[in-house]
Amino acid sequence: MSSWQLWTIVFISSFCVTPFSFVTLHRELGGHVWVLPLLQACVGTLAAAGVVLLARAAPGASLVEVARRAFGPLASVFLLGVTVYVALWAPVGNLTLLLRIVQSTTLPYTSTWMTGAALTACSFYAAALGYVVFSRTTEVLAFILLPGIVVLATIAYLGPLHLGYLSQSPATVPISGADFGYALGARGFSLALAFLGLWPRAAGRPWVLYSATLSSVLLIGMLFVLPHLLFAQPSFALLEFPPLNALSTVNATYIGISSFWPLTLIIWYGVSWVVVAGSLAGAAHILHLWLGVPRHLAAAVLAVITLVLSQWTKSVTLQEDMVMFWTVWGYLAVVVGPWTAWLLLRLRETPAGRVHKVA
Amino acid sequence: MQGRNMLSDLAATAQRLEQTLQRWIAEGWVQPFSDTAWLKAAFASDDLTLQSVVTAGGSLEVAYLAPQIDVTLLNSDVGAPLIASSRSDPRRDLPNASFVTQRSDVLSALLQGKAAVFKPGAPDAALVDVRVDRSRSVTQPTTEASLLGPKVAFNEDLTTSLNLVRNLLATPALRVRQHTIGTLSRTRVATVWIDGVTAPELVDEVLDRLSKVATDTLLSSEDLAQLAFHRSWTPFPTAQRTERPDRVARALGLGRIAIIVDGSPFAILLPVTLGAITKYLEALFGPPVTVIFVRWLRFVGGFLSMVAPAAYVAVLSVNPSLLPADTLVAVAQTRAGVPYPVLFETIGLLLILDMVIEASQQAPSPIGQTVTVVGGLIIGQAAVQAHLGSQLIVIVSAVTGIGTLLIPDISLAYAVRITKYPIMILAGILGFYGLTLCLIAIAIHLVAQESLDAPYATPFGPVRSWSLKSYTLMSRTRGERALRPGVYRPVTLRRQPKGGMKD
Repeated sequence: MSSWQLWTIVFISSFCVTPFSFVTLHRELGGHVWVLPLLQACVGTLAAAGVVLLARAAPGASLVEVARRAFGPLASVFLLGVTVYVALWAPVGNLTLLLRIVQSTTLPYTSTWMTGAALTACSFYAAALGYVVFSRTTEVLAFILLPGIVVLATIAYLGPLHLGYLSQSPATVPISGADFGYALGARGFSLALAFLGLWPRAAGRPWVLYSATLSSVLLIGMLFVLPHLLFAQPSFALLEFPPLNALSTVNATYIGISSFWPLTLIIWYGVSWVVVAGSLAGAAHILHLWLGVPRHLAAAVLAVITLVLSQWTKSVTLQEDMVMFWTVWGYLAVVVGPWTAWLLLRLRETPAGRVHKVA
Repeated sequence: MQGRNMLSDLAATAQRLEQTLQRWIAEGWVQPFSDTAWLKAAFASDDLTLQSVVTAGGSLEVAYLAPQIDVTLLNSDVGAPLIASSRSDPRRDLPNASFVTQRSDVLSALLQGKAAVFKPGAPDAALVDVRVDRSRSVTQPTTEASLLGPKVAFNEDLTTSLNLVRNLLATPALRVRQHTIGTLSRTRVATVWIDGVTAPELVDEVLDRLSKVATDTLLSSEDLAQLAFHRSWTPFPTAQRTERPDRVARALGLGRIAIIVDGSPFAILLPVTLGAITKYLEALFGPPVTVIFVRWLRFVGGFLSMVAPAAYVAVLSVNPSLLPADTLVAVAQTRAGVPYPVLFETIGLLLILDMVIEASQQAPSPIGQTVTVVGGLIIGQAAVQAHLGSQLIVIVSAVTGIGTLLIPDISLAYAVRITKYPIMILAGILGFYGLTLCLIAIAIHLVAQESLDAPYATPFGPVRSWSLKSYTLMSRTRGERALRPGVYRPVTLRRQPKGGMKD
């Protein structure tokens, strides 16, 4: 896979992920809705460059191997940062959210322990079988779900329902540090998710990497944005803290066209599985390579932690603080870390005696 | 003078040889077949027949297993030539006779339907093939019937089955490797592939697995598939079975391997993928547009047969708000008077449906159709009138039953019939949430399977763009014929030049 292909993947995936706005620039450009994903794609592509460059610099090498080559004795710090972020992102960010959505919409009388256990068990099944099984399953899901998303997106953007999304958006969004940080972290996370396990396979089978990345990130991104686009354009302009805003996504579906929301909800289940299973598989994969822990054992322990943390009741303030915390952590782990690793790798592994051209 | 000396030399040599043989017999190096007591001891069976035949060269003993031989052939190929012969050893006049000196060879030959002729004192036994041919004639396929395709199916005779394949692939590159498996059954098994097309490592893997099979009886290709190629508890078939020689020939042309078992009318095709196993046969013969339409129709039908009952349960028992209010009222009215929860109602009626399908497959053809009609219409109607089920569940059951019949592979149809129950149960507990998770779990299970290192869920996961295109949209002329699927790792990918025409 060439660098340009990788850049294209990053750009497309970033284009489809959570809205992110630069208020002034957005206003200057006329406030068109499509400007927002375009801007975030540019920022995301730059931020994710570290992961891409690192993958290109060490084809066939695992993340653990690259970290050791780049950081030497400090590799453990980098790996710990990435592992903790990937392993805990699912329960803190996604599973908790999904369980609240499920409880508030379809299963109000069912214990969240039961719904959580079902999703965690399903995710553990894939994670225990390895990252390859996870990525292949994602492809199957994409094969089934993506046509549905494409149909909905077409309806949304072409506007047969007279929702007018190609027209100017009704409001602009005040920019905040959280937006900026999350946008960078989300890009890095999405890429890390796709790259971590498939890294060693990237050199030989680029299509696996390509399809897994596209399908997972497309699903995550489109599903987050789509209900807003379809049903509640005003709320689209108020996205600030993505995990909390996902709840407003559900509200948006309630007030929207009722016959559509089951479909979007079902796709939500698929997307949540992609994130939770991907987190478990990715973290188990790193722990296996790094510490030699059996993959299924690591996945089992992480699945239990995921389930327990998902049941932890958190106040809104705490959730906002955690989002900020994880944004910073994620930014350091999957944006700053890979960039640093790539630079160190270049410095450490520049062939001796290499002569730079002098004008 | 010189000729006379040669004759005397020859006579002296013969005499020396005879003396040497007698000495070997005396020393126990060679066991003469002068008595047949060892044969009686070896078989100790009433169907072993020993007959004495008086000939010009003395009395001979003929042994055979009565059920294995054709009496007419025995009389014409053994009895008549022996009586007519005037030689000292009349066995030399037997047509197509072979001579063996080992007792084990005699035992194997008798089991294969040969007659053994012993001459007292002689160190060898003559074997003549007089086996009876009780195999069926070549008939039409029963499990893979086709309107437009060939009307030929394998039968239980390995030689006939191989003949049918060779007739379709008249190339010296067609390789057949025969094995004998089963310490008691001594079943002949043939592995077939095309040299230069099938990956050598694939052939080695199959031959290696077959060589490791250790069993006493091997009576069907299903037994062999279970022993050699089935590694997990999956209900999904990990070997494709077919009774059609044309399907075997096409598979071999794609770089796959066929295994034919003597005594079984089904060949095994390996490696197997979900794409291959769900490809219905008529797709090979119909016009492209029809093929695409029917392929999708069958795909949707098969999917519905797995999901429709669970969706019915999920909507009515857990997520009724998914339905518009008018529809919900209408559905509720159909269930008026039904005392059971939706889940029990659905499981009960689908179990009856599965029993009906099973009974119709077991019963003779005319009765089978009657069973289907009786089961499908009369029992369903009676259940509704007795308030044991709603009218809607009868429709759902009908869709499920018809969808199951649309699945091209009978083993896959069984797997779908089984998996719909856990999906239904989870949908009854967690609604669409449970249904979705269950489908994802099935997807995980499928992609985790491999058949001789080929990903089982190909072309869906991992996505193989060309195969997927060929499977879902492209016509057979442009898509399927141009290249061989890479998942089988064929030696050469291209099957024909672009456009399928010579320059």
